[in-house]
Amino acid sequence: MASGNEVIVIGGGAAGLNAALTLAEMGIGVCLLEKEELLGGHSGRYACKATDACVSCGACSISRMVQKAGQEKLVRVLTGHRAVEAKQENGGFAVRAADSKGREEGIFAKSLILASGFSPFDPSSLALGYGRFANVISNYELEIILRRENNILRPSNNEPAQSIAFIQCIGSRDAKLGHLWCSQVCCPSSLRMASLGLAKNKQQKTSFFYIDLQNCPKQIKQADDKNLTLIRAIPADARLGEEEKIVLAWMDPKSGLLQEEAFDLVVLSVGITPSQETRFLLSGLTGEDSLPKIFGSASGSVHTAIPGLFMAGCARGPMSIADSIADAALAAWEAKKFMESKK
Amino acid sequence: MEEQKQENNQRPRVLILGKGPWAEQAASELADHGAKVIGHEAGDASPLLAGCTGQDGAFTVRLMQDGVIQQETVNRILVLGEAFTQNPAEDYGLLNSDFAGSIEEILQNPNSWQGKTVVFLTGLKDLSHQSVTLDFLNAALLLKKESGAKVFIICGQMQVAAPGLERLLFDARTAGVVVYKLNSADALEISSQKDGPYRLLFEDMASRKQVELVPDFVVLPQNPAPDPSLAEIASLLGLETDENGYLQSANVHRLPLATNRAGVIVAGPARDAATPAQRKSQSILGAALALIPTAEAAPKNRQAAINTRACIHCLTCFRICPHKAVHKEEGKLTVLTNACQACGICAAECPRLAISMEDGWLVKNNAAPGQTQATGGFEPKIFVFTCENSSAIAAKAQEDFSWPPNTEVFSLPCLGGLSLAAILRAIDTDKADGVLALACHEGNCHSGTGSLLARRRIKQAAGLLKAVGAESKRVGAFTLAANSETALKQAVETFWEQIKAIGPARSAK
Ligand SMILES: Cc1cc2nc3c(=O)[nH]c(=O)nc-3n(C[C@H](O)[C@H](O)[C@H](O)COP(=O)(O)OP(=O)(O)OC[C@H]3O[C@@H](n4cnc5c(N)ncnc54)[C@H](O)[C@@H]3O)c2cc1C
Ligand code: SF4
Ligand code: SF4
Ligand code: SF4
Ligand code: SF4
Repeated sequence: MASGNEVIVIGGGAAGLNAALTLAEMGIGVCLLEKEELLGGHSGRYACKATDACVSCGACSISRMVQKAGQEKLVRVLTGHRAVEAKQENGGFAVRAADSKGREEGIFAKSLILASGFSPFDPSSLALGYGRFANVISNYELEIILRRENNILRPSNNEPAQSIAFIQCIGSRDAKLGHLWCSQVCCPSSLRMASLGLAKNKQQKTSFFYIDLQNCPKQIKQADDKNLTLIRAIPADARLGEEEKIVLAWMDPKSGLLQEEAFDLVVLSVGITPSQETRFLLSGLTGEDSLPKIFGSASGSVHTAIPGLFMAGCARGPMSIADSIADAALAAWEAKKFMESKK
Repeated sequence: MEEQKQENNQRPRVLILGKGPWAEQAASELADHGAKVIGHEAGDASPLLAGCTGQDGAFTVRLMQDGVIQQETVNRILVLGEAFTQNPAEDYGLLNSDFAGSIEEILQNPNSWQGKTVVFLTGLKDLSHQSVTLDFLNAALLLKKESGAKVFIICGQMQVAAPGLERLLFDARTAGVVVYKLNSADALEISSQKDGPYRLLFEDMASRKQVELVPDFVVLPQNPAPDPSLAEIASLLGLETDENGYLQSANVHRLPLATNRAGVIVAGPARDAATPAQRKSQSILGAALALIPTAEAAPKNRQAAINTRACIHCLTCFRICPHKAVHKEEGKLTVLTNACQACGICAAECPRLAISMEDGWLVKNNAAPGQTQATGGFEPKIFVFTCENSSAIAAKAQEDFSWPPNTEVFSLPCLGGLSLAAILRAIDTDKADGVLALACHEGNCHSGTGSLLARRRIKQAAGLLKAVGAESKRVGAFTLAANSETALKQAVETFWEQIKAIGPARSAK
């Protein structure tokens, strides 16, 4: 069994990357496992939302961390390696990692940081046309379109969208789903994408459907942009209109009347939900299904019930890139403290 | 080996600036790990910062306590500040203390509100915050439990973006706390009655009915705000601030707790508005980062060097260095090697060209030579200057990208090092047909002002070209991030086409 790493980090997203880099700065050898061929996780695929000035979305930090991790001698990066099992063993942690060909490698370390991230909520089950209409996409998909095209294009014809609707809180703040958490990032993130779209295309009109705007005091103040309409309502269903437009219906909060409008593109701001993979790995380590209790809870922290096992980033609840980076640095510090206590 | 060496070294000395629970938390974490904490002796009023020179690993700070100034040397500085809040009573016109006030007044005697009506007000004339939501919801639940009072929350945007808050909101609603959300401050009419409680009038968005409340008490939020001493600390340490006055700017290069000055760490109430739980983790992390031997400075062979014989002591470099890396002592200027980030801003701005960047600073990027097929016609010779923090990464990250033929690519630690002279030299001496600067977006420059300076110099160069009858469009600047692969490709293509259209530079100028 391969050894020599003092800590294993599972997941090479914002959190895993910074956990590994911080450990290396402290002189601690790390094995960083990432199931995808590329490091970066979800946010490693996001676009820059700067118009003239940076809007501090954090996405470009991932590119810098990926570069740094590749250069850092103390970080052994294993991309294309999925952690398929993790358990406590001999006072440490044993992880089985499999590559795409199914070849397995066993890795052992004294401490383990679980930074395997989240799953974007899958909105297929909602009546909003996701998965049925080409022009209903998620905010995650819009990030990827923006990164690739440097523009907001309609999937149906690859033309710039002239009218866009963002619908917030999809899969978050939803008691019926049992999702009693705010995903924290989708308001600022979608508003930044909306503003970027408006800056790129002066003809564009955008409607932004929301419950409460989180973390965007600046945008709330600027809300009188004539091409951006903030509407405090959540449309419940969508149907297909002419030219593959999407017709949304909602109760207008100002008039109290039912309103309908057709949009070129509808973006569902899906929330951050627990990853089944994280849940499975954590269960194997703790011997119980502990993620649902931990996820996004007020008492959550980088510590787990098991000494030497830490969690960081969205694996343990919704948080921004900035918070994931800080969380991971703290997890790295706690891992170091743990190992010193064992000496 | 490494570790032993460190153990033999002196205990790290860390200055804490700030007081309150977060400072205590950080101080104990530091002490637990063998550090000597300065500025935070339990029980004592903490000293005020009066001055600071030096660099990461060796700061000399002047501290004032009881009117006496003391000098200390410390390895690192951890700024925590002090929790500070603002009460927007005046904004709402609610200054009558019998019927409106802070949460503490309610919590003194939570069971005395039986049969009474209490309204919590937030986020209408002020900006709400998660920590206010947390306090309000906890207090509202307590009131419900202890006294069964009628409890209302009237808010603008309910800030629930923190762990546990949405659940708490759900619990409060289930317990009978009524939440009204209004769309603007104007939607709420507040009138005061002589010697009586206030009268609140508004339309409920859900039922569209007028609601009138005459609460026995209106609870006003205590909104987190930067403590007023931070401005002085920022100015003495030469730190960037954010738009509210907190000590971590919005620049993502400073994540998680860094500043523009290596060795100065900001956490807790000094860094941002955050919930108590976040502040607690931040202060532990702040202590940790004060102990980690990070190498924030650039490699020494890339740093700036001042030729003291050419220097005329204009102090431009001293003032302009974004990382506080130029040290002034007895009229002599030196570059601090633990602080210099090799941005080159000082060298580009020095009026006497007295500052040189050492070897290897301007790295010609031969790894990515032009490979695009030749076009036949005129192929302009273009000099591209990329930033190692943004455009150089974006260029490297894409496999299907190659620079146009005849491009010479240079990567710099920061475009702030691209001097006006270097731009003109490229055209004049090196006979480039075009010069393209690919800088960072404003606010995303690792060295703060570097990208702005680069763009300004490109503008100046354009003006000079125009003045001598040349095409001002031969020089261009574009801003990009490390993840802007497509924008980079588009910028390079556009510029190449532009220069191709202008044609070859006239040899005689
Ligand atoms: C649509 C959307 C937009 C957002 N926009 C912003 C924004 O603008 N700004 C912002 O600050 N935040 C934003 N966020 C939040 C941001 O995505 C997260 O903060 C960040 O991705 C968290 O990083 P992480 O490392 O915790 O998780 P992830 O990004 O999920 O990374 C986890 C990594 O672990 C890997 N992994 C998982 N399981 C295994 C396994 N078994 N073995 C090996 N590897 C594994 C995954 O492949 C992945 O690379 C947004 C979120 C969404 C959904
Ligand atoms: S990716 Fe985000 S943080 Fe980076 S420059 Fe663009 S807007 Fe700023
Ligand atoms: S950040 Fe905004 S969109 Fe996301 S869950 Fe919270 S309130 Fe809803
Ligand atoms: S900018 Fe140049 S001349 Fe002015 S003080 Fe610095 S080194 Fe001397
Ligand atoms: S190169 Fe940059 S960091 Fe170094 S001394 Fe000059 S201005 Fe300061």
